[in-house]
Amino acid sequence: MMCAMLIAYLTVGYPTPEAFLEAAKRIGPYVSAYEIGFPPRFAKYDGPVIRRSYMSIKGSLDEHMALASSVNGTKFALTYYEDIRERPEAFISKAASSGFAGCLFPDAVIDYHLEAEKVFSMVNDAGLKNAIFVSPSVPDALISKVSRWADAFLYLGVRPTTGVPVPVSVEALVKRIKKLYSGPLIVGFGLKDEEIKDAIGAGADGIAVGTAIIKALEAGPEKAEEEVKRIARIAGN
Amino acid sequence: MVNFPPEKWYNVVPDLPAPLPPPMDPPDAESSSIELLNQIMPREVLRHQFTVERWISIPDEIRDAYAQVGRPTPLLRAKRFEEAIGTKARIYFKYEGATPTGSHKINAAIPQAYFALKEGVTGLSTETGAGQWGAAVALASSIFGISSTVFMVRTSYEQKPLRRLLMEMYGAKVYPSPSEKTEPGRAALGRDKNARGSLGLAMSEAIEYALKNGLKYAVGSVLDVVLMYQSVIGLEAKAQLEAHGEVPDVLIGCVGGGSNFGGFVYPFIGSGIGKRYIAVGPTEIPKFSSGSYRYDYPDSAGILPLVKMLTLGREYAPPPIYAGGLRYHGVAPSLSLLVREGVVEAMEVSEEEAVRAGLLFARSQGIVPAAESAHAVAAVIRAARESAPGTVIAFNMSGHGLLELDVYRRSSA
Ligand SMILES: Cc1ncc(COP(=O)(O)O)c(C=O)c1O
Repeated sequence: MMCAMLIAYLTVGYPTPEAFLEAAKRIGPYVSAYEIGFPPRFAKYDGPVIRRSYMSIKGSLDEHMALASSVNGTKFALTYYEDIRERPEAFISKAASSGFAGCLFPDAVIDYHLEAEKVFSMVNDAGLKNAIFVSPSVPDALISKVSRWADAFLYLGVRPTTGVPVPVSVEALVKRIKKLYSGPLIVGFGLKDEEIKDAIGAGADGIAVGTAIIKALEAGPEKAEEEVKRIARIAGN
Repeated sequence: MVNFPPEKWYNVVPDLPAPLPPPMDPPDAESSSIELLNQIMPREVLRHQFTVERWISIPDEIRDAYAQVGRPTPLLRAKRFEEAIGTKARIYFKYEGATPTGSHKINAAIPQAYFALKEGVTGLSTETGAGQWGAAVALASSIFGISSTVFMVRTSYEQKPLRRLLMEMYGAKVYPSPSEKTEPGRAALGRDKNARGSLGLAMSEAIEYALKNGLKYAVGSVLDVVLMYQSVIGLEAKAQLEAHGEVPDVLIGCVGGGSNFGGFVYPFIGSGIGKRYIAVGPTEIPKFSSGSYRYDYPDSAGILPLVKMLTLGREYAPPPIYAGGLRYHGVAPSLSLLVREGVVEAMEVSEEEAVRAGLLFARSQGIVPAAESAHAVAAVIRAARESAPGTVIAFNMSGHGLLELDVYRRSSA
């Protein structure tokens, strides 16, 4: 069997710049890529854990980009499109010059579907790839349309917010997307251990983990490493 | 071909013209109200709410119960009503009044009672305005042998003793809302000891009561999952119209929270049938014309997560129109989106116009429309006037008005 991809989420500079870098280094061997979150004004699709992490960090976007640039490996810059909508090219070019492979805007398709394709093309123009986020409430026709831009991967968030446990049938959700899109599919948002297997069994190419890492990281980078190792094992890596 | 009752529910979300904004936690909240739903609603109901698939299998036990309450309900042509209003359009209606509790509400109550029982819950709590939803929950609970507790808006509790009696006959415990039983109720009575109550407040009471007493809360409208459970109406109607050899041009339903409208109309939208879809609300509660499209709470105490919808604001106190089921501040998120995107037309008719239309329908067809459904009848008259001869209009008669004849008293004199 091919190895499942594991995408690890970290909030830039959280809980401290040092612990952030240390955690990134420790989990590096187990992950396919990092998503690094830059604090938005309001992280509306994030649960309390990630929201709290955003609120606790200080500093400017430039400082955050500089810090993130010293994380080695494939990494995607994540922020809310709502916040950069005035000048998306500023964020995108900073991401490009900080060594990111691509961008991920969790609200682009859900809240700005009419202009999403324009942003995706800007990302490509900057030499970056698009990781495109969709939720189950995105209609089929739109999933088909935007997923053509997903040259990194399509990211399906199976719950309304990160890290909040509501019951869903991961298998059914993944199968629906697989009918519409054949590229690499990453599944995330509050996955329980058994759901990681369900997702991969239903045809997902990998999983994304955020809240669990952030929670573990609050107890120290070595705890984050343990958690990522544990999850990588469940994912069959 | 659809078997009766249908084997699957239909969910419109994958077929919407734009993404449905997901439910959201309050921006400044420490805890998650989305997470709290786990304690409020039966697990399977939540799973249906969050697992977006176009078709969901209906368990056999639920199909049996649907059959027991008279599904499929009749689809009838309103020939004498056509004559009475002098139209060359052909008018059909789906008659949801032909269920024991007299409205479509039983379609969403049955699955919630069933899924509650399946997870070992001993009872459901809920709110009711006119008493239609409360009666449905009371009956569904009795079908599956669990208890039911209903918070009934005080205005209706006093105005509509027969519906209260019906709920009690099915074994429900019925409290007037605001009540002394819950925090939101006591707060409202503290502000005004003669408070008349509202659907939003009764909802908050029922939710808190469920949380405090280890029950589950049954949700009567607004949420996508309720509209999905109601899709049996439209799926049946679609097959029944086909059997008549008819393809409807105009589809109409009244809107309180949107459940009978969505249940009836969405299966047609999903299969591309129909040229006009008309959602009718009351002029007195102008959520279509004056509501804003934004995140707001479905319940007035703000216990449930925010949903993006057309809303007059959760604090809005609806005027005491007779159609209790339409006295609600918001519109289901999927329907709000369809109105915004121009797929569904919104119309508002006054109580007076609705009552006149309902009376005309009763005189010509014999069926007395519920005050809510009379709004749909009024819209049918307007649509028939604008339609070319041969137009096929289909509407949902969401309930009968036999327990609330009072509303027609003045006009029939
Ligand atoms: C007969 C009838 N029709 C319509 C409604 C309005 O609710 P909804 O818009 O959810 O169908 C109600 C609500 O109580 C009702 O009892």
